[in-house]
Amino acid sequence: MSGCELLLEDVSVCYGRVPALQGISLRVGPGELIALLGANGAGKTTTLRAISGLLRPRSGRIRFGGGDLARLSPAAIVRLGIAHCPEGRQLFPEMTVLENLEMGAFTRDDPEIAADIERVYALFPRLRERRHQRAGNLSGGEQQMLAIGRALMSRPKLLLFDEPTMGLAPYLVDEVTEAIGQLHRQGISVLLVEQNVHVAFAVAERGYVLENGRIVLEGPIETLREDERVKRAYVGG
Amino acid sequence: MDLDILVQAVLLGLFNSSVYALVALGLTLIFGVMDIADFAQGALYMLGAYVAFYASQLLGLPYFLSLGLAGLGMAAIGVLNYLLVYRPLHRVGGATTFIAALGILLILENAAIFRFGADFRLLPSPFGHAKLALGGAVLTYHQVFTIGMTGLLLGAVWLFLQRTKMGKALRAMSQNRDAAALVGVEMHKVALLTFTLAAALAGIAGALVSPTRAFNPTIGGIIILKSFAIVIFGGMGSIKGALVGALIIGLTETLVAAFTAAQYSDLVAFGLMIAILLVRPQGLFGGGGRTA
Amino acid sequence: MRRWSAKGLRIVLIGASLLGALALPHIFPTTLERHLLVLIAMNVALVASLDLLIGYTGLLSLAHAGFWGIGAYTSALLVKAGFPFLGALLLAGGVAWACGLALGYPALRLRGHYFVVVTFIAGIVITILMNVLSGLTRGPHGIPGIPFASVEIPGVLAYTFNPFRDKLGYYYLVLALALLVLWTKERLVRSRFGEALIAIREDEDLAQAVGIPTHRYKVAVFALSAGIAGMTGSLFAHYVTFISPESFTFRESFDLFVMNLVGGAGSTLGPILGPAFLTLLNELTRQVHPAFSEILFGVLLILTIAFLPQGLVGGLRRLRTRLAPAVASGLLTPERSPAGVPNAPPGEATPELTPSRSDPNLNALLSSSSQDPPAEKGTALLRVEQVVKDFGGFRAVAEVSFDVRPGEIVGLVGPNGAGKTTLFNIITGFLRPTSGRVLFQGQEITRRAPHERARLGIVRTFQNTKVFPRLTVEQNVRIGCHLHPANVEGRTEAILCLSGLQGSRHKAAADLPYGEQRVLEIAIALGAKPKLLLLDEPFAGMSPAEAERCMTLLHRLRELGITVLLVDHHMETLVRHCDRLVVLHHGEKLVEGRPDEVKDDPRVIEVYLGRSRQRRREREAEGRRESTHERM
Repeated sequence: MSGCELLLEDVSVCYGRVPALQGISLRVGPGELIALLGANGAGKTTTLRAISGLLRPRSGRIRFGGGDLARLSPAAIVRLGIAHCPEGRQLFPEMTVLENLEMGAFTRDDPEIAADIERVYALFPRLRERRHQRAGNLSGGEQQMLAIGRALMSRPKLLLFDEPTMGLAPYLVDEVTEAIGQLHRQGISVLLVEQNVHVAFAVAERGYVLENGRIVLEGPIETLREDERVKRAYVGG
Repeated sequence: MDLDILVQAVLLGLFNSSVYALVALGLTLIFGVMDIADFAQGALYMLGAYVAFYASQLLGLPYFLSLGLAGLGMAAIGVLNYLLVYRPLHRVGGATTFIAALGILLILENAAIFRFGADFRLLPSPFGHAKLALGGAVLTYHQVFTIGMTGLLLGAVWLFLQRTKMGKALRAMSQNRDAAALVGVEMHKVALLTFTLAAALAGIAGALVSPTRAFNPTIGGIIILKSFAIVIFGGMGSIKGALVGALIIGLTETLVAAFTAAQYSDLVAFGLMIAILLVRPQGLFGGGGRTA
Repeated sequence: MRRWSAKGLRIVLIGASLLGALALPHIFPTTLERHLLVLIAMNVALVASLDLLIGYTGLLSLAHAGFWGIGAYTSALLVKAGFPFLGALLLAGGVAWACGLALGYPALRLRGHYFVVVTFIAGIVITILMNVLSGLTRGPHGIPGIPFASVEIPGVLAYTFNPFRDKLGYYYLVLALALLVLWTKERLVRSRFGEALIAIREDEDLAQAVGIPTHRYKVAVFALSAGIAGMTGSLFAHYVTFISPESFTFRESFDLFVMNLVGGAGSTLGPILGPAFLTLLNELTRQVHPAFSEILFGVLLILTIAFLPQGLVGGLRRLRTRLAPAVASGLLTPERSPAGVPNAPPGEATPELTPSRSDPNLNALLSSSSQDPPAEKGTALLRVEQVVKDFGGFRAVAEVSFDVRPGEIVGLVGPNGAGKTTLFNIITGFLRPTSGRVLFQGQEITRRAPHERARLGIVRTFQNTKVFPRLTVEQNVRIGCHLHPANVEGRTEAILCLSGLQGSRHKAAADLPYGEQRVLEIAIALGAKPKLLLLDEPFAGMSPAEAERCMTLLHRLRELGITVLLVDHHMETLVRHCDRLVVLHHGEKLVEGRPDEVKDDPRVIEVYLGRSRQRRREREAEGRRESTHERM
C-alpha cells in the first residue's frame, strides 16, 4: 500500500496573474481519509484539479506513489490510480447510466469490468434500475451516485471528492456519506472537499484548512472541530 | 405535372442534402469536441474534388480509388491544421480559433487558385451520363450513387460512435470535456481522431460531387457557410441536428428553386437560418446536452 | 526641460501627423501612388468605424462590407438619378445606418458566436440581394458609369473633384472623411457613451447591473459604424465609377477585419497602421499573383492572433517599453490600454478596508435616498409577492413572498441549491419569474430590464465575482458611476476612499487579490447610487478578517441610508449582522424574522441546523461511552 501515498510539496497555482494556491503542502497516506476544509474560493477545488492534472501548478511538486504528476496528462494520472469525482457531478448527460459507468473504466482493458459494474450496482441499487436511462434525466442524488460509481470504475487507489453532498436532500446526504465511508473501509484513500462540514467531521481522520490559497491549519479532525479558524470558515457549524 | 416537379425537387433535394450532411457532420463533430467552428473544412471539400480530379485524370486511377485518396489526403491536411494551428491557439480560446479557421480557408483557397487556376472543371462520372427514371423524375446514376454512399458513410460513422471505445470517447468529450479527461480519455488523441474523421468526410464529399457539379477553388466558401449554418440550425455539436438540418436546408433549396426561381433558393435558405438563430439560438436540437 | 508634458507632446505629434498626411501625395506624386493613398484613406475610415465595434465594444462583425456596399449602391443610384453628390453621400450614410439599425436590433440580442454568425450570414444576404434585386441594381452586371464626385453650390462654389484627372483632390476629400471618422471615434470612446461601450466589452452583465442599457448602446454603435461604412461606400462608388456585388463580398469584410486586428484593435493608431500596411502589402503582392495577397492576409492573420494579439500597435508598445520607456508615452499609450496600466507607486498606502468617516458629504455623494422623501418606517422598499420560477419541470422557487424595508440589512439564507441565487436574479431582472410580482417602492418592476432597475436604485453584485478585468480600479469605479454623470470625479474619490481601495487605484482589476476584487464589486455598485444593494455571497473567498472589514463597510453603507439584501449559505454570518433573515429551503420560504427568532425556530433547526446539532449530540454521547473514534 505504500505505493499510493499522495504528497503535495509547496504547490502554487495561478489563474492568469491571480494566485489561487500559494505554496501548499499536504499528504494523504495510504488508506487515509483526509478532509480539505475552507470557505468558498479558498482554493479547495483548485487543489483537486491540480492533483488530477486539469490544472498545471506554477511551481511545487505533486507526487503519487513516488512519481511526479506535474507533467502528466489527466488520463495518465487516472491510470496511476487517482480518480476525481468533480463538483457538480459532471456526467455525460446524453449517455445512459451504463455507458457512463463504462466510460469510467476507459483506461482499463481487463475482463473484470462487468463485475465491477455489478459492484457499483450493489453499492447503489438505484443505478441498476436506471441503467438504460440517460444520465441527464436522473435526479440530483442519483447523478451523484453515478458520479461516484463512475469514479470507482477506474479501480482507484485514491479518490478525490469535490462536494459530493452539495444540493442533496438530507437523507441522500447520509446515503452518500455512508458510501464514502464504506469505500474508505475497503482500503481506498480519500481526499474529501466538503462544504457540509458535518459530513467531513463524521468521516475524516485528519484535515487541512485552506484560507486564501494557503494551508493555515492541519491536524486530527477532533482538533480541527474545536478550532476557531474552522468555526469561522464554516460559520454554519 | 406539378407532382412530377415536386418528386424531382425532392429527389434532387436528397442529393443536395447528402453533400451538406457529410460536411455538416464533420463540422458538428469538431465543434462538439473542440469548440472550434472549423471553416477550413470548406477548403478540404474543395481540395477533395481536385484530388479526385487529378488522381483519375492525370494518374488514371479508377474513380472509386480516387474517392478514397481524397479522403486520406484531406484527413492528412485536417490533422496538419489541428497540429499546426488549432492546437497551439486553443489556449487563447474564444473567437481566435474561428478567425484562424477563416484564415486557413483563405490560404488554401488562394493556394488552389494559384496552383489550379480559377476555371471551373468537371470530372467525368464512372457511370457516364446514364440516368435513372423514377416515375416522372430523373436522377443520374452518379447522383443516386452519391446518395447511397452518403447513407453508407453516415451509417459507418454512427456505428463507430456507438460501438467503439474511441467513438464513445469522442461522444464523451463532446458532452463534457472535463469529465472525459477525468475518466482517462486522452484529449489529444480524440482531437486527432475527430479532425481525421471530419476532414476525410469533407474530402470524400468534394470528390463525390466533382462529377455532378462543376467546381473551382471558390466552392469551399459557400458550402462551408451553408453547412455551418445547418450546424447552428440543428444545434451546435448535435449530430442529429446536423443531419436533420441538412435535410431541411437541402430540400428547401431545391423546392424553392423548383417553384420560384433558382436565385431565390440561397436567399430563402439563409433567411431561414437567420430567423432560426434569432428565435432559437441554441438550434433545433441544441439546449439540454450535446451530441446524441 | 527633459520631460515634456504628455499633452504637449501629443499635440505636436498629432500636428506632425496631420501635416504628413497632407504632404504625402506630394511626396508620392505618381498616379499609382496617389491611387494607393486614396485606398488607404478609405480603408482607414472603414477600419476605424469597424474598430468601434471590434476593439471598443467587443462585437465581432463580419457584415461591414455589406454596409459599405449599401452606401455605395445608394449613392451611385441617387447620383445617376440626378441627385447632388453631397446629399447622396449623406443619404448613403443614412440608408446604411438604417440597415445597421434593422439588423442590429434583433441580432444584438445574441451574444458571442451567434452574433458573429448572424453578421456573417447577413453580409452574404446583402450581396445576394444586390444580385437578386436586378431591377434596381442590374444584378451581377453592376452599375457602370457612376458620375465622379462633384461639389457644386451654385453661385458660390463650383469645383469638381475628378478622380482621373485629379487624384490629389480626391485624396483630400477621402482624407477629410477619414480624419472626421478618427476624430469622432476618439471623442466617442472618451465620452460617457464610450466608457459604457468599453464596460460592455469587459463584462456585459456587470455593465447592465450598473444601469447601462447595453442593448440600446450596442445597437446605437452598430448603426453608427454601419452609417460610416455607408458614407465611405459613397466615396468609393464615385471614385471607381463602377460597382458590382463582387466588390462587397464577405472577402472584403474579412480583409477589413484582418486590417483591424493586424493594426491593433481598440487603439488610436491601429486603424491607421493596419490599413496602411496591408493596403501596400496587398498592392505589392498582387503584382506577383492575385492569389498571393489573399494567402498573405490569411498567414498574417494567424500569425497576429498567435504572436501579436494586440496587433502592430501592441508590438510597437512593447518595443517602446523595452527601448525608451519615457519617450512618446502620450501617443502610443491609449487611454485605456490594459498593457499600459502602470502599477501604483510602492510608497502609497496599503489597502485599508476600514472606512474613513471624515467626509460629511459621503451621504450626498453616494446615496440617492436623501433626494426622496423619507419613507415611512415599515413601508416596504422591496416587495416580493408569490414568486415562482420553474426550469423545465424543476421548481427552483416556489411562491416566495417577503418584504425588505428601508434601512434594513436583510439576509437571504439557505443551504446550497435552495434557490437563493435564482430569487436574486429575479429581483434584479436577470431572470423573469414564471409567476408572481416584484415591487420596488410600490411600483411593479417584474418585467423591467436590469438596467432599468439599476436606474430605480436596485444594484447588485454577482456570485462569481464580476469586475471589468482589464481596466484599472479607478476606471472600474468610474464606470460604476455611469448612471449619474454629475461629479463623477468626486464620487469616484469618495467611493475609493470609503472602500479603502485608493492604494490600488491604478492596478488592473484582474490583478487584485480575490478579496479586494469582491470589495471592488461593491465599490462599482456604489457608483450607481443604490437604494437597495443586493450582494450575492459577498464574503465568499474572503479571509475572516477581510469578511469582518467588509461587514463594517456594509454597516457604514446602512448609516448612509442604503438598504442591503445579502445572500449567503452561512447562517452564523448573517445571524450576527442582519436585522432580519429570510430562510429558503428547496425553493420555498421556510421562515422569516429576526435573527434570534429564526435561529431558534424549530423548523429552521430541523432542516438547516438540526442535523448537525443532532449529530453533535449523538457524537458527544458516543464520546462519553467510548473513546475510540468511529468513522461513520
